[in-house]
Amino acid sequence: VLFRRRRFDADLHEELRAHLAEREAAYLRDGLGPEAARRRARLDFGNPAVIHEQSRDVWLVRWLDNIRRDLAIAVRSLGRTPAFTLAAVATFALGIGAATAMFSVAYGIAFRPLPYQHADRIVRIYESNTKTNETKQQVSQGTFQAWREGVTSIEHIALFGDSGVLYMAGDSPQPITVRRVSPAFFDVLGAAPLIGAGFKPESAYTRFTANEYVLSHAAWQRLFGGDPDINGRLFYIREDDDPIRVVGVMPKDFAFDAPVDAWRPMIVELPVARILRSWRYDNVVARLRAGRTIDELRAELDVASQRLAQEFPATSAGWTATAEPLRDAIIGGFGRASWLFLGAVAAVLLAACANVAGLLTARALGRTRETSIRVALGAGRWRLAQLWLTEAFVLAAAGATAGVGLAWWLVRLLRAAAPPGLPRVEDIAVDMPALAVALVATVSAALVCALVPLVGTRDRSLPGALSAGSARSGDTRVRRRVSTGLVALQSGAALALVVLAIVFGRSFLNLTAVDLGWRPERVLGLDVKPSMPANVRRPWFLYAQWAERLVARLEATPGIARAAITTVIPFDGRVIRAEIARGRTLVANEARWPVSLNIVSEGYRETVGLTLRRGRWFTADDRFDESVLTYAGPYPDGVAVVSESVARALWPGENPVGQQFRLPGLGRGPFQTVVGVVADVRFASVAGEPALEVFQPWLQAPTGVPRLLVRATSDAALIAPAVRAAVLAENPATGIDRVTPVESLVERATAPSRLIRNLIASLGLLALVLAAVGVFGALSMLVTAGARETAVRIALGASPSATMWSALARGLWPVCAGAAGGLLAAVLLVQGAQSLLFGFERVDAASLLTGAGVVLAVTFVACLAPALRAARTDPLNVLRAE
Amino acid sequence: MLVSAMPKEPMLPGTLELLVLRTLAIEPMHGYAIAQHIQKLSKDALKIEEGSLYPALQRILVKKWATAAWRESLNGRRIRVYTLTAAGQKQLGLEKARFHVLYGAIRNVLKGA
Repeated sequence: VLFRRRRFDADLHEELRAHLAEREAAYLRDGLGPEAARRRARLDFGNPAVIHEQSRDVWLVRWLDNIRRDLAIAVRSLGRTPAFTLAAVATFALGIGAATAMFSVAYGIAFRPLPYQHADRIVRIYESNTKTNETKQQVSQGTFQAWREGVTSIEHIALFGDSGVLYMAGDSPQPITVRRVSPAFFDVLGAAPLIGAGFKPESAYTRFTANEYVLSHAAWQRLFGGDPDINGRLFYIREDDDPIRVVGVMPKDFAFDAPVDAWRPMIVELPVARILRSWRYDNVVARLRAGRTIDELRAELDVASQRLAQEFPATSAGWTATAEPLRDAIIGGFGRASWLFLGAVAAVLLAACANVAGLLTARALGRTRETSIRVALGAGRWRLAQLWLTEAFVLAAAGATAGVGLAWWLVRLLRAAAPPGLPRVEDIAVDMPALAVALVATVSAALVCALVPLVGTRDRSLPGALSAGSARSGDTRVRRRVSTGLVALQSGAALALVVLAIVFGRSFLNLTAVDLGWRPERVLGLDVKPSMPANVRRPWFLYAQWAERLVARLEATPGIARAAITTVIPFDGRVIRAEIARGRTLVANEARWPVSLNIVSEGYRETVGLTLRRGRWFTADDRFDESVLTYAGPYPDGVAVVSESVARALWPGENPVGQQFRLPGLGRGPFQTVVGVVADVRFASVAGEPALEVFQPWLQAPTGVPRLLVRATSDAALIAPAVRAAVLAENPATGIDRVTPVESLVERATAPSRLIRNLIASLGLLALVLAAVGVFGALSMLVTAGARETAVRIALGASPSATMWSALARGLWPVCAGAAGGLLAAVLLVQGAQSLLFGFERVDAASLLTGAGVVLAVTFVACLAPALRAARTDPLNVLRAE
Repeated sequence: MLVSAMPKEPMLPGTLELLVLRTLAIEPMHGYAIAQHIQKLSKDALKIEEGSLYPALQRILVKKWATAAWRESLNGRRIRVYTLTAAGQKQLGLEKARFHVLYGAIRNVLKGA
């Protein structure tokens, strides 16, 4: 078209110029001077551009006229069959709506670029222990320093810690959530402050001069009223004499991980102390140099790990580095799930197209006479195709409009009800990319749907079709085959999705059926950080006293059944790792086991609901006095309770009660005597083996990072204000953070699984409905088309029940044919989704059979009505109608 | 949206196409020659404006009453020559008849006055 248009313009241009030249020549012949002749000619001629324009418009008018006429014909003929039109538009709306919504979800989560400059170059790096099978752990400062110095493919690298709550000094203490980050943190993310210069290079700081904060935009507004002169402003933090200087405010849209109020520099002091080589409590994010790949980075990290293991075997042997793109770190398993969603929704869209194509085929069949007449009147094959295409486009456009509306609504619904733990929810939206996909889906759906019915028109024998007076000509057979194929396709797609939905449903059941070993319901968890007098150097005894008083105060509060101090809130993503070794004395090459450490108060067992298997739980007497806790006296042996896994690992076949173990590396209370064993618990994840859990009594080893677990008598969320009040009554300067019902943390762990199940189940249901409608439509068409034949059979003595069964068989056999393909597709899909499934090695016969049963049952019901109609055929009526 | 392609002198609607078809019935010719011809045959009474002629020619092409092809003229110019098709011939007959009906009707009205 473009080519033709250019050709047209060139022709017209040349023609007009030639005309002008001839006119000029005529005036010259008439005796005018060359100048005058040209002027006269131009004057007579008028504006060539306008003539050009008007001439071209003539063609445009025709083109638009044709389209308008085709549209009018399409709308008129669609209006004559409202049931068909409604069915087709609704099918398109569902298919395109589901496709658009699902694409929006998948794109927002897995494909939309992260909001950082060159985000594809940002990676997370972890340490993994090959000996203990711990993957993607946090990183020690020693390892970080080795990467920073020795890995050339890294442009910037930064540590970041967990966030913590501090209190701003003042009359009413304002909490401020602070995260320690390497000064290069913002360089890694390619972000610059809105106000101020941000951090200086790390070399410009020491641990004691790093009193500079970069504020978040929200904190700038909330804590400093959006003070325009914020840069350089000083403020004080409780318990700290040194002023904090504000050196920057980040832009409003800057975010990384959980929101915080401020960032402060984390400085790695060189040389890295031995203890900091073994403490793996920080996270690493890095930016690759332009042009370097993550594989190059991995190769370099391997070299660095080997060197570390040689140089520092005590702290680095067995540890390797694991790098992954930041996006993968954020979205986790949802990357793969997004592909699954796209695949599933493509199947639904295909089923929808097959459906409409089937409807259009049936319609074409009903229109054989109309078509024949049009052909007789001189309509070419192309013209017919144009008409049908227009019809399909009208249907698809109407469907797409409704579908995009539906998608918008679905996405809003999903965002509102997004399960906790669904990454990047704020990035899910029906916007340009999704609309582009909707457009592509619409156009291709319309094309497919219009072209499939055309398959049957080739052998149209005109006189035959006209004279036969009904739809029995050669193309009926072709059409029948097309419609069979379409039904097979639909039922196959539906079956695959139904099986997938069943498998994901069962996987989710497996997941929720896992026994956690404790009871998360009605338990509230929170971080509490009481401020202690600044002049006490080792406030451990104060923490012990504070905890006892606080627990007593809480348990006296109505609505609270039990309360306990701990160091770990289950399922909140933070654990305290330690290694333990058997016995009292160090042995060369002794075995060490990684455990997670819980330092808990006496009421802990009842608060979280642990099951005691052997020995005893802690009592109020499991305590050290002040002299021990302030290191003034000798450190006696402590007691510990361990989980069954620990007992099995360390003392297989022995009675664990009375055994002793050490916590090398963790200073105080080095020797522990096991006094009790509790059933295994899952505190970090539902899937996988339970971790080795060690419990120590709080009064023997209080720490400065207490957390609180409170069991409510009714609803955990309801007691939050009372808990807060009690904590502040005990110590008004207590930072309170992350107040969350623990059950919702557990749900968060299973939420992705639940979401995947729900989405796949919805798509499966949709595909099933589409298949049912498709089968119904196809069989109805066959029954109508075969009415004569049926009438003759009945006239010749075929019984109604035999007629019905033969109709049913005709309707269901394409379903069965499609089902075979669908089962195969299901097996492959489940294989591809393996890593998203819990407790499934591969798809099992039960799921396949159930899926097949469901699809057959539903399509059987869909076939009943047309089959009954066939059985009730009145031969006299039908044959008389001829 | 579209500028009407009527000539500036008042002329009965559709007559320009009739004149062009009639002219092309004599022999295939290019735009300039068509305009000259009409002017000559009408003894300079009708002056065809290019602003009307070319859109009219395009309408004739759209309706496939004529085809256009580039040729070399006697004096060596490249010209685009329009040739009447069978459909154009038929259309000329129709238009002529229509014109005569219209012309007769108008004359009757004028006579009656």
